[in-house]
Amino acid sequence: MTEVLDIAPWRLAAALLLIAVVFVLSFRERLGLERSLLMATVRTFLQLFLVGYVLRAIFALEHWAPVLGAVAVMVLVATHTAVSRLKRRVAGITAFAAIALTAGSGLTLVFVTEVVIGVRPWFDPQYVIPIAGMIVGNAMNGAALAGERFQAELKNRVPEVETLLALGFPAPEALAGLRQEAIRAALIPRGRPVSDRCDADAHGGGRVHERPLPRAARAAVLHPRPPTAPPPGRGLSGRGR
Amino acid sequence: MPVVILECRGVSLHYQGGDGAAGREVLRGVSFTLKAGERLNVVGPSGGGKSTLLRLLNRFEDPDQGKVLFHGKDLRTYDPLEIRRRIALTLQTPVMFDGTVRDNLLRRPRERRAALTEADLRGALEDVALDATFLDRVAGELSGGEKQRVAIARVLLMRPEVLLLDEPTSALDPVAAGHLIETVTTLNQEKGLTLVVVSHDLNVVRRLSGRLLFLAGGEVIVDAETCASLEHPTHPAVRDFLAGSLP
Repeated sequence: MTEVLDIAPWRLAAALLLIAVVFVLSFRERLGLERSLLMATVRTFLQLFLVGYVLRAIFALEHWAPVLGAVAVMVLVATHTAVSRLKRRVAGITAFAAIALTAGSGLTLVFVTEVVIGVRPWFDPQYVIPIAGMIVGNAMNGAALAGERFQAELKNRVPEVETLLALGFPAPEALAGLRQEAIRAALIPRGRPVSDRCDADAHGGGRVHERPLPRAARAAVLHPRPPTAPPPGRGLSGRGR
Repeated sequence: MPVVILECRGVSLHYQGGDGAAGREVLRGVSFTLKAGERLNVVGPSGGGKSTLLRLLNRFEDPDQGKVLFHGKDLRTYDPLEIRRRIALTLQTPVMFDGTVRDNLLRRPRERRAALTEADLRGALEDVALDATFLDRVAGELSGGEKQRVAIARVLLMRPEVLLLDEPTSALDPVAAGHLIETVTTLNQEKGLTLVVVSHDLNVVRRLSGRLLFLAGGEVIVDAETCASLEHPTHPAVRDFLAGSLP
């Protein structure tokens, strides 16, 4: 079965019935979600409508450049979304996330399309674009989860990090435990039991420490900034230790 | 004549507010000198910049203006890791890592851990008036005073020249606090360790004696001999603090 299905407009419209179910539920249970549901439905409709036209143009061109352009747009949007989920902005975080998402998604996309599927021609948009969408979407969720967890751990474990720094550990080593937690959070399969999530979330929460981390630790979180433009809290020393 | 080991020259520091909020000036034009072997009490109301000053001295922070000199050289010219070894800091709440006291004493970068012998560990515990049986006790099960001593022993193993103690007795009962102050005074008198102690507890400050630096609103209000400053306070802010009308 290799043919492409042609979905009739009435079938697409039928998808609205599912939203109507939620709409009625919200109304009956007085959840107050009707307005946001309506807005989300209209937005999704318009987005998919526009994306459909763009994809049709890309498919028609049969050239690698627009396909790669579409993938690049996906990575940019994913970067923006992942970074915007962070509670605290850090200098250089957008560039860092963009590099990480490009490298991670790019390598995975090449591996899947070339080695696993063997797409020919290599840029065939029918395969490359949906697969890229799935890979970039997962990478975005992983990056956002890792970033959120790292910041939560950092906020919760300031005394521990400061103690390690005071004992002469370079900042990357003082932050190693936090990094492990962040990576674990990003790599836990999405279908993990709810109880695990609750435990993990409880572990990641905690009281807010008013005092910012030492400069060395902040510098290690990401790239240092010039002393004239300190990040939230305080400036980075730029030593990156 | 003792040499000047640390010097603050017109040091100012402000914390930037989050999301564009106005910053807060924590230290303003702070200047003082510290001689080798001195005991310096840093006292003052909450939010006066005492703990921030300690953080400047071991490069957890860098000043916005002015400079901190260590042996006459700007602190920023030193490797921060070297500074944290030579100017050791213990935090208000001692953090004990999983495992025994021995594990905690050995918790340091690999290259330094290898150089530590059993005798070093026992010696460090002895310096803080704990016997060798503590080595194999679970660190998390120690009392507050014992944890604070282990935290001090842990940094003493770095053989620092200056020991910075941030509110070391805040979580201790008066007896444990007295013993701890006795211990650090002995370290100062017998080993020549230079001490900078931030404390709210005036009993602790009196017992430690030495010099007093009274900080309020980020500025040095008084820099004088401790006992005289507390017995005959001349500045209204110090009088208010002693009378308990400043937090």
